[in-house]
Amino acid sequence: MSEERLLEDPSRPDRDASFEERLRAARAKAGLDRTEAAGKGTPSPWGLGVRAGLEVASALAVGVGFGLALDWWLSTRPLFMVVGLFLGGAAGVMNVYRLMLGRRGPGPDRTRGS
Amino acid sequence: MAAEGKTMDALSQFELTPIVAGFSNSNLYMLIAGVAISALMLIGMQPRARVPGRLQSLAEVSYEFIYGLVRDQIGHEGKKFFPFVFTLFMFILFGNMLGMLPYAFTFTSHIAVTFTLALVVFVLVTAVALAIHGLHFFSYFFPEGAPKALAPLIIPIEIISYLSRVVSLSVRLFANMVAGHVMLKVFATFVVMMGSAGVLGLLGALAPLAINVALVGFEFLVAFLQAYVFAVLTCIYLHDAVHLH
Repeated sequence: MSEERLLEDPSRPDRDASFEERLRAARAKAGLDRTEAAGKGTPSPWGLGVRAGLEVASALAVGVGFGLALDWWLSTRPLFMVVGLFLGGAAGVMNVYRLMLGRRGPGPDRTRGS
Repeated sequence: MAAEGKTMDALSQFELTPIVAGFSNSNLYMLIAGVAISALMLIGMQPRARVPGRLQSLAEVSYEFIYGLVRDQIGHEGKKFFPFVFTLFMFILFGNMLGMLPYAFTFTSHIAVTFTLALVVFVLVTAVALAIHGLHFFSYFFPEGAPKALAPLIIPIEIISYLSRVVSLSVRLFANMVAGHVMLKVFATFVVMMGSAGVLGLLGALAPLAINVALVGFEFLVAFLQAYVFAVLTCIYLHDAVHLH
């Protein structure tokens, strides 16, 4: 039985595959390959939604906060608050855009191992 | 404490009470967290056994967990940031976990604390980026290839986006801890209120009790997850600072 197995070698390709896998894991561990660590652990839809909402809200808060501070300094009460509101909203959309792309900027930026 | 009369008091658990002048219960738990982490790492690693015991395993697992995280997220240059990320992660993790003990105070449930932690990360990231890239760092705020005419619009947006990291980082941790502890307290109050309303109430109190049991488990998950998220985001920001564009 065992001889037959050896001759037929049904376990061989399987073994090769496992070797390849182990090699890849070892290479990744040694930092030879760029792992897809950034992509793993994708959050649940609910978590992603909350995160996106938080990104928009915090950017809005910073924008409006800046606007109010500028208004207080230059005593131009509603002007910079309104400007900050729009800029903060744009920054929030930018944050969510980046969140969805994963990391910073479009893909090539990352895969080329900058 | 849980239910005075018929009122629900879910927020008093976040009150600061001075133990000594200028030293609140929040500070006390920060101190406990610091001592506990030091004890875990120092006493846990004392045997230096090849086959580690429980405490040594815990110390090694937490070390390797963060080490792997830093290596994967920042890369090889990131190894010098390992002590920082590890300290940050352990401090937040212990703060969250200590908060799960009955009668304990959760110091991560205060925006002042989480904002300070986020600010430390932010200042470090900015300082690292400036130290490595010098003035080139400011090109971060203007993506190459964008039309020059849009600069007055893009630069403020990018700066706001950059600054909003502090807010989102701190609010995420703070909000998660507050929401979790308020929920626990609210359902615990339900149990007490219904339990004091006769036999039928006692039976009815089983439902919020069951929910609370599930919530406690969930809160342990959140306690770990939020510390992890904080550490991961710190690593991502550090990665951005090291590899600018």
